[in-house]
Amino acid sequence: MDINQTSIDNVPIVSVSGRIDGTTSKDLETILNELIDQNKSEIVLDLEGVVYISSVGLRVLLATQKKVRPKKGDVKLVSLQPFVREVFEMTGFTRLFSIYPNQGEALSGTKLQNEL
Amino acid sequence: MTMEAMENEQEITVAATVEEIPVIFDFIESLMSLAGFDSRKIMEVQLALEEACTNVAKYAYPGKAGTIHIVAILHGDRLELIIEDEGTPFDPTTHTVDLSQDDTKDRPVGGLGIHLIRCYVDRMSFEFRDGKNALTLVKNRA
Repeated sequence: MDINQTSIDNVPIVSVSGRIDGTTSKDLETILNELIDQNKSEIVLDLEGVVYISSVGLRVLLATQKKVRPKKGDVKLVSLQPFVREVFEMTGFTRLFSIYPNQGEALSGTKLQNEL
Repeated sequence: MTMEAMENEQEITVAATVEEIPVIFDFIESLMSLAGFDSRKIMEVQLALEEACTNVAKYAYPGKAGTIHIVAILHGDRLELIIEDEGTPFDPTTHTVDLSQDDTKDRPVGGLGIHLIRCYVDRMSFEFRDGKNALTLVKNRA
């Protein structure tokens, strides 16, 4: 798994590629926790390069969402690939996150609706 | 790690730790590829296996080391996986998770793994025999 971090208008964008599984999810958790420690409450997580996610990865995302929501924040997910999208649907996670087709729409707040 | 190959049946024994998940991924991918399963079905089985083995790694052997033994048997278009451990008796088939909560703060963080196993295999059954947990997962190629 590879993780790249950028920032646009002070909003952190975390781009992940590869597999988010039991051996890799810790790295993602560390980076997301660092952003929360920096008081970032809006985080764009670009999953375009992610082909696989297991429940360990889902738990990392949910734990992050639980931390930012009380601060009126949001973890915005971008570019879910077919298998990852299906895992989100089967676990009801599509109802817990805002999901966007690309980074630009995540930053402007235009949600991908009803396609899920 | 030991690996034995037989006609239509392969098995692997790994330490019951999450660090062994890539080894399990490789084992099942090579076996399923050779048997003609497509990449999507392979990922689905990898997910089910990861969830099953993660549960064993986290809960079966509290405070001590243990192993996971996986037997993969191909019956034509059907793959049967038997995941065995000698840890604390635990029947995952009896567990359910409430996914109805739409509010993030009410959502339990755990319990998703067994649900995902159920989603991605065609059959799941459990037996405690000879002091071992034996979880059987079946995946059809078609």
